[in-house]
Amino acid sequence: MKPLLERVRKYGWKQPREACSIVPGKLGSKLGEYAGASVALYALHEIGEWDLPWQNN
Amino acid sequence: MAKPFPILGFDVGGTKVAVSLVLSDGTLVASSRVPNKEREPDDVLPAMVSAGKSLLADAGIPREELKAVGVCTPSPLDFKRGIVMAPPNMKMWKHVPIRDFLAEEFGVRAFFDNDANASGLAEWLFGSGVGVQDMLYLTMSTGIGAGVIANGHLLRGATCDAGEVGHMILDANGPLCNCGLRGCWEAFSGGRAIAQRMQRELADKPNSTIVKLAGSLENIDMKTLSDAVLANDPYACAVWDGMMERNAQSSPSAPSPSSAATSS
Repeated sequence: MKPLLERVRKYGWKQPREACSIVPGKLGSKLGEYAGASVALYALHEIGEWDLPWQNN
Repeated sequence: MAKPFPILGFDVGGTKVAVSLVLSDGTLVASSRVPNKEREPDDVLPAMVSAGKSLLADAGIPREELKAVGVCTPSPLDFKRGIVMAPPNMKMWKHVPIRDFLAEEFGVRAFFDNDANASGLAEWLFGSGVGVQDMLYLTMSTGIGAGVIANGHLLRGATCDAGEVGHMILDANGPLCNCGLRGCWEAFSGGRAIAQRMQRELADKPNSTIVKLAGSLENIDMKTLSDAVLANDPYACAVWDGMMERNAQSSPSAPSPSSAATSS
């Protein structure tokens, strides 16, 4: 059976499709452990109390 | 670099609540689970607080060092007021002011969002989306939802449902969706919808591969489908093929990202 990326060609505009990659999530079974905390961390980022992880480097 | 600070996270789902102690550098210190299947919030909320306090105590972190609490629940919700409205798979949770309850119990600020946004944020901050400016996180499970990061910000929309991509209508004459409309993406490709479709179509076919793999009609689910596809069952392959075609049709119609992370 055809993979998703091949099928998308029929439906997606070329430019955004080629600019986009489809990747699986990395957190897997740990997603629930990070979800709630991420809500708080992002909120703290929005009010200037926490830098995004890649802004520290 | 500033010293990492502790955060308590609560991911409230239809069967359980994931409680976690996470440091701001992404270190997962400890986690536990609180059962939530068919339980009243009056029982679950104190258990969540107790679990959170235990995690802090076991890690030797004094309560005054806790910086904030984050909590996510399924939609619908009142984002501004921090209230769980009445999620379809949490029927006992009606108008529960969960954010302010946790803020009061822990004596810190509490923040609230829906589960798809929260998962999208988690993959963006610590998973496959680290460092990108634009990302669509797709969750494809019982239902279908998304967390949208646009230009380095979470996109919520006026009513905090910008990520409800599962209810984009692909065919107004399509199958009836849980939301009451017809032909939503979720009605074609959501785990519940696919399972119900197979149960309906195989009701008089007890010797089909899928029914045999599941053990009974009622046990048919997405795992059964994928097992049957791996066994090259023609019916399962046709169902899978149709689902993937709808996924391909829908994915580019969701907010255009430069990177998409998926979870199933």
